[in-house]
Amino acid sequence: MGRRMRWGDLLEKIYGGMLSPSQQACIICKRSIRMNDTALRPLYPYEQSLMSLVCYKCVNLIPWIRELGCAYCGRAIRCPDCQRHPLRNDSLRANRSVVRYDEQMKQWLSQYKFKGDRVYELVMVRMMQLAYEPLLSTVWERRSSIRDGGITALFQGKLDAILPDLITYVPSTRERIQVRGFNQAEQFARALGREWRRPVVELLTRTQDAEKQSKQSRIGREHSMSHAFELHQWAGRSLQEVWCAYQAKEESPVAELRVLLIDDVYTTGSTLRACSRQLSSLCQYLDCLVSIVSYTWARA
Amino acid sequence: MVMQVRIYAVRTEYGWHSGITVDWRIDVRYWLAGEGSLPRGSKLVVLHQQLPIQVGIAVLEHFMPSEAMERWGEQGWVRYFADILSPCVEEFEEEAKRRLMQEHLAVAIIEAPYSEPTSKLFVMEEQKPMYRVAEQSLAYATTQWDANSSGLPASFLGEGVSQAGVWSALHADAYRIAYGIRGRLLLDEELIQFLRDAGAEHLIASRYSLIQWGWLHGWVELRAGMSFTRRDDGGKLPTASRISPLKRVMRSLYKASVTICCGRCGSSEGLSSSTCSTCHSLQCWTCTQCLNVGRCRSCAILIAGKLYRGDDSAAALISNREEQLEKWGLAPAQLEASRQALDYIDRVRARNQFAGLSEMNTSGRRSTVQGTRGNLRKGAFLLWAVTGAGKTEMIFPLVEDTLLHGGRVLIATPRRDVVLELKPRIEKAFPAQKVVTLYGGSPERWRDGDITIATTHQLIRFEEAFELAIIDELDAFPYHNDPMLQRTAERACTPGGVFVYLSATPPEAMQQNVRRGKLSHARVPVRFHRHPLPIPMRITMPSVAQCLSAHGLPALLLARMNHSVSRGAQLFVFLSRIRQVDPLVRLLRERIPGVHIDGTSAADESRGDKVFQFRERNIRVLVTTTILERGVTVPMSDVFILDADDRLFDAASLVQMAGRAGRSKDDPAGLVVFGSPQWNRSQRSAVRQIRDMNRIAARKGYLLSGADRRQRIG
Repeated sequence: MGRRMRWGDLLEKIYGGMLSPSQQACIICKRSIRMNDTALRPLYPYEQSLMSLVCYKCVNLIPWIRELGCAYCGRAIRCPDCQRHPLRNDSLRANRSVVRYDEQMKQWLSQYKFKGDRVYELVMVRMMQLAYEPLLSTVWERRSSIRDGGITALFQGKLDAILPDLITYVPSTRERIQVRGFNQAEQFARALGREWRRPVVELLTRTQDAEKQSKQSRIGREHSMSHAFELHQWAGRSLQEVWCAYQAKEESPVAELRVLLIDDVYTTGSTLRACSRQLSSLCQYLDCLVSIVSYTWARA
Repeated sequence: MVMQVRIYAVRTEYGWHSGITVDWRIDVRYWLAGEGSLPRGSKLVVLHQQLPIQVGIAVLEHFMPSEAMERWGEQGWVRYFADILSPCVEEFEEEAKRRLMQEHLAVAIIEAPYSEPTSKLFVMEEQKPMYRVAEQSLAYATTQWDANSSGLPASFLGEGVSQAGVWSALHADAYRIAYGIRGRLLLDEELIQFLRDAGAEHLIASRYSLIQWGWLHGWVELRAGMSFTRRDDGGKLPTASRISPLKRVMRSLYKASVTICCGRCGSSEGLSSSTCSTCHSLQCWTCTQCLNVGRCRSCAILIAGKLYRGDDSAAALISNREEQLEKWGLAPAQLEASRQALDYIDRVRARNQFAGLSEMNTSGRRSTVQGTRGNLRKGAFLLWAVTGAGKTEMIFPLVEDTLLHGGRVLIATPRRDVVLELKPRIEKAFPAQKVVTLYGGSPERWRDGDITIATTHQLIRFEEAFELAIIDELDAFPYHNDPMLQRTAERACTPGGVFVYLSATPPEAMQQNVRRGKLSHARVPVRFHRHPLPIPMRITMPSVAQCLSAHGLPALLLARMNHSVSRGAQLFVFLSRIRQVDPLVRLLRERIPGVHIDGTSAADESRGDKVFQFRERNIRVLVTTTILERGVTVPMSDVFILDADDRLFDAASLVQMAGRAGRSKDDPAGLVVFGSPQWNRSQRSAVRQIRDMNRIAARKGYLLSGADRRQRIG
């Protein structure tokens, strides 16, 4: 008797779902996305695919980085830092970010990171996915996919040619993860890896975490970052594995291994520089060049 | 740092019991150390692995004592724990699951130092060191906690302390914390904030030990952030035997049909699940409904303060009821309503005392003190008072009455401005009592007061805290149609406590209950100045949109407005759309020159300032939307509602807006105008409600006689 009731409830739920109009709430402002919103054309064509998650108003708030002011750190305005301390010194090829870190974006990120509203993840990952191709095409050359030639090459499209060979992320300390329940950089990396079908490898660990990064000044950051990261104990081995698998797949010799380093925000770059320093020391395990590019959701 | 729990079984003289612990050393102490007498238990079996709270609590529900437990050794216990664990960790990451498989589990069997070993498998010497370790590892720092800041009466300090040294200090500190958070429902982060605010920073590190001690004494409860609401047939618990695969399937089906809900705000919708690195669950739920007052997720721990004040203080001296009412200087209608409410509260109290007594007699054990509380019903009373009736004054006698009975009082209102406005008035009326105001960002958030004035959102941190809960304007914006706020308000009142709802326009469902006699109520049909409510007059005019596009207003409306301005009144002009506010302000400025006209809306940042200017008569005409429909009192004001037939204006909001007029004693007859192209149902209903109230007032003789009224106006 009792069970029949429960099945009834289940059916009611299903039928109710089928009959009620599909109303979806905007992830950001939680107001329902109206149907006629989708008729509105966003400013840029690729924003259209965000419109299933976010309402028109919130999409238009996104300060995309559409023109690079600095070819190295991906800032939207000219950047004196990169002239003084080139990223190359820390063997970071370049950085690219999806949005400018303005007040609105700060609010989004704090909703996600500090308040723990995990649905923001969907939007942010989608944004990183959308902006990837235009941004990274300014860093890496497209690989001509001669592997199969012919028809499959057509389907693989432009995106596939500049995808990284390996994705890794900026780690967080154990304690922080315990409190927060997730590491945002890892979440981004894993989601992107799933979408692109690229391996996501944990190559780094964080050893110290004196103060929260967002509460520190530039000098403090530089200083505290310099020894904050270490290579993960299995880093060499996992890298080797990826490399071997990659070489086996690719017929022609590959010039470089492309590593994408994911983080949420690039502020002074000290975190990413420190990570990249550690990563570059991994090169000795490999007999080829490694090209490390960092990709973040926002650029301050 | 992160709160994880362990589970254990304990053998007492009544049999085997299960327990959950955030600090197992405390439990060892509690159960196995005799305080001058025999220890409470003889044997403790602690599962070594730490579990996320939701798993711990689920496992406890599956615990079934059995005869065989006496004979079990480590193996037996490991097998048993593995059995009851396995259905609870289904949705966990592989790694976490593996960690909790039978091969990896370990238990510690701890026996009291001087008790007979109940299990022959173990030799005495093996257990004693274990106990010693537990005993000694707890280095509890005894430092003075500023007793004043916690507001703890001195008489509590000595109570129940029979141990020397650290344990008595621990006992006292745990009691203090429990006393401080009584009636509250806190997340771990909030507990830290509470301790910091109470000046007890040094207790933060050892808070788990204290909480655990409180849990063992029944002073606090531990809960998971998310709970399952299940249908009543929850009798499918595993026996001590292995769980068959069939049962496992049944269980997962059963689980699928169970709905999950937030343990804090009670929402079962708006939960989002994700993988979580804290508890290693693949489906750790986060409640998005109450996210902006802190993140409540499956693996978060909720601490509920369950320490109650003794009920015997009810014998306090109560002076004569009439004297008690007299001193507030209420008008006859107010007096009558307050008296009715007090009578109702008395009835509820008497009923509960009776129920409590009979319950007490039937079951003679100590623990029933809390058991009976759950059976007590909450009372509800509606004070249906017209706008400007003087609701605040009417609640004074009720507040006083509850305080005299040793209860705590809550006054909940939807808006922060009202909280701040009420505070000085309440403080003036009750100078001897501690009044605490709670709102987002309030500095007194963790203080403990006799009278608490809070916005409705703050109630999420309370549970069974108040004997009298006064809910103001329950039909107003955030409270109305928000089941979460209604649930939390419901919960904030103790069992056997009383709700008093205040409203000028109760929602339809409540009015129905009143008509059917299901809800006790008192009606206050007249304002404190004993003049009738102004009846809205009707002006047929084109809609505001048409007026704006034609760039003109009807002559009749302008004449009325001019008349009001020239008689020295302040004009409220209500609109339905924010976007029409500015154009109408411009139009009015043209048509009524020489008068300061301004507009404000929810989108306006300088709203508070403009309202202030309006009160100060610097702004004479204020164009606004429904945001100012309630809570604003401006002496000598007239009200113009344009587009009164708009569907955004229901009868309740029309009554509220009309209620802005004629509130002061000096100008009791304000002007209310409904300007609209058509006369619709809400307008009719609003006018009828106002007329009804006036009629009732006249019949009961609350209104001043005509001659009197004229004389007053002069």
